[in-house]
Amino acid sequence: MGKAKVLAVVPGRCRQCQRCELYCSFSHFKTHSISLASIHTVRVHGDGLSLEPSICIQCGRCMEACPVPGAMKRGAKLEIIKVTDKCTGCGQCIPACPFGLITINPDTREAVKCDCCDGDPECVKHCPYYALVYVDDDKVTELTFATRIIQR
Amino acid sequence: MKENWNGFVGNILRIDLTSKKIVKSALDGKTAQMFLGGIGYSAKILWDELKPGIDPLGPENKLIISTGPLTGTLCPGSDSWIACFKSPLTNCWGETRSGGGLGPELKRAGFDLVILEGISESPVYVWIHDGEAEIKAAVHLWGNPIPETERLLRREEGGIEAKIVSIGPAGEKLVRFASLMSEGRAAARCGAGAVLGSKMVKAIIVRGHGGISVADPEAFISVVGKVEEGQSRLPICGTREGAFGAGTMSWLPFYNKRGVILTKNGASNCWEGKGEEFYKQLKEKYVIGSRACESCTMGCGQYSKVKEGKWITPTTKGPEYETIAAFGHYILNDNVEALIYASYLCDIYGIDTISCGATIAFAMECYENGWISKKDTDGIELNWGNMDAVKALIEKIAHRDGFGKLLGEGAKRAAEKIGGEAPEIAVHVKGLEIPAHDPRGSYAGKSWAVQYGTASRGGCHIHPQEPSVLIGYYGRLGFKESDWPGITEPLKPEGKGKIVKWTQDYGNAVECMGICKFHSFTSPAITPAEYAAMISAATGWNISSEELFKIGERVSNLQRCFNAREDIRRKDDYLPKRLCQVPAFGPYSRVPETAITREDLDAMLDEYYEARGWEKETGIPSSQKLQWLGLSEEAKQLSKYLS
Repeated sequence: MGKAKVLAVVPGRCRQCQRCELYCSFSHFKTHSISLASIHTVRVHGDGLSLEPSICIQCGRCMEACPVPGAMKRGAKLEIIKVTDKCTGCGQCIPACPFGLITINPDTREAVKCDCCDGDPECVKHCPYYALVYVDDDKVTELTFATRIIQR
Repeated sequence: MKENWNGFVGNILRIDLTSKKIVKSALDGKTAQMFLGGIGYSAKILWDELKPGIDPLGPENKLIISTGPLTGTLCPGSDSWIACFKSPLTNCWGETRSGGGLGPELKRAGFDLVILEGISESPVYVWIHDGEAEIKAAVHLWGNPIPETERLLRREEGGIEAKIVSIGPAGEKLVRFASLMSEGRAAARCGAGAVLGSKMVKAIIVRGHGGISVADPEAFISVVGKVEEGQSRLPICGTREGAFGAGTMSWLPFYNKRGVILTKNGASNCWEGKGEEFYKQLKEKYVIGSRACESCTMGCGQYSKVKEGKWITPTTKGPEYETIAAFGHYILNDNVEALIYASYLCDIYGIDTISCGATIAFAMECYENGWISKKDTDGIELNWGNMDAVKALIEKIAHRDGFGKLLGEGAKRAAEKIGGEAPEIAVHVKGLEIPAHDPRGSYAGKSWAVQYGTASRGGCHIHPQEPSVLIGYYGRLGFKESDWPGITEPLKPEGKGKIVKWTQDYGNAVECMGICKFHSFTSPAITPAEYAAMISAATGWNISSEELFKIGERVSNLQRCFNAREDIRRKDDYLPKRLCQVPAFGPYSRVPETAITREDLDAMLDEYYEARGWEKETGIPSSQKLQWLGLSEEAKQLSKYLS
């Protein structure tokens, strides 16, 4: 089995600037829109400060929930799940996403889902606080665990 | 015909609170090209629509919440929303800005500007969502402090993603320095909270799902990428210690040493050792995390918490540099826990910390001099550094109770009421209390004197702009020392007028675009040329950096016209006596050059007016200047009013 790369969050670094969301919508749709982004920073009002952004881990629940054959496909190389033009915008994938990251683009009536920018995620490249990484999936535990230890 | 807007979303929302009428209209293309958005567009509206001499807390005053064409985009720091109005504190031009997410959210909801006019009979809040607006009853919210208001409101509209701006009890009670609060951040100065309170508007809650598009995405993103990369290499960006990323509090050690922090109601400009100590204690014990405003690469917002003891607080935003100075240096308090508590109280009641700290410091000096006694202060012992007294006073000010009624009027009005020599020790310009950037210090020095005197909203360090943006970084902006005479000599009056004119124009331009001014300190990553490139790519208009400065100058002039109509003249542009004297104690008390004589002030103001093209005797913009700026109609109206 080929090695998969995944998007991961480095704990404790996110400052909720939302530039990842803006970059996500800008690179895909050429507009600055939080609702068209496939990554979301979690803003909590009040006491909680150390919340990590919600990211797509390509778990595949959206694909399982999708009733249209071929509307969602998992790529061979990087295991990224992509929405194809067969999507009807039925919205079955929206409640299936455990992270609440899928929306329907009101213009095209197609599901909007993280495609990891085909292996070169804009959100990772442009995070000013180095809170996001795109690494081999067996490195994630090591990385986040190490960061947690350092933070203690 | 509908214009195709880029950068802007192209709509104005006008809410008449008297008749409960809501009108949506299109942005005017010509005005937008002349002024961009923010304070510029608002200045034009207020100039056209406000009558001179109106009561700032009456039904004729209007409050505009505005954004700029770059607000909500990927331009770093594009998080600004700016409220413009006639200030109840200064009776002239009032503007106050904050970050967070309200500005971008307003644009995503489909509006560049929201104009509030008239007065509601009963408490209301305004719910703005995706191109629609509603006025709703807020009787149940009235009287609540800010966090509770936000919590209750979120249950009713918008949920967790909605952005709220609200006023606390201080705004409701028309405290003249009440603030607007949004996401723990404050747009505090000039008493915007009181204006909203007078209109009986408790809160505005916004939620939008739209997008903000730009004219030339490729060009735009390539400049943004370049700027980002440049910023990441600068020592003042990112998460580094002693940088913006460590919060404004990290300036304390440097500023204290350079004599920039007003101490003991401005008697001195340095409290030896305390700046360093405050910063160390805060960083080690109380700061628990930081947050950025939307789209910001600096992330300066620090959060702190006092976990136990007498001054226990929940997690609270701040304290910021100015607040630490106001509740530390100004009133000679060295208890950091009490300082955080005071900051927290001001935040939940919606009070400007700078004006509050400065007014309390003024009252303390009056008490020390025996001009007021325990009888006047409701039995409170107003000794220097007495934080129990400060806590009681903040409560009294917020609720307009007893002695708080007098202090809630601000230092200028309180001094006039107390009478005698009291007005001599009130540290303000045009009624706005002076923040912690002392003109007697060795950083930007006497430039502050000109900036405080001539800023449209009164004694303010950052509106339109800090002179240090040029003084500290002129090399990186591409200038040579010889271009700006006197730039390396902070305590000499030469050259200060010209420096301040340049920085003010720059600051105004940045404000009109809807960007946080901290980012203009990140030269050479961002210089006026980068801003020009970004604004051109975003709007699709060809705007050079010279044109950007002209826009900034236009705004300064129109605001000055607004102030001239409110009878502001040269005489109102002078620094308070207190800040012209050599510091009474501290290292700078041995430096006689710190004194600012009347001749110095006159020379600096002359130079400034000359650079601006204003009449030297009166400080009113000349009609030639206004015509050159394309403000001939305004020039006519002004001369008609003056004659």
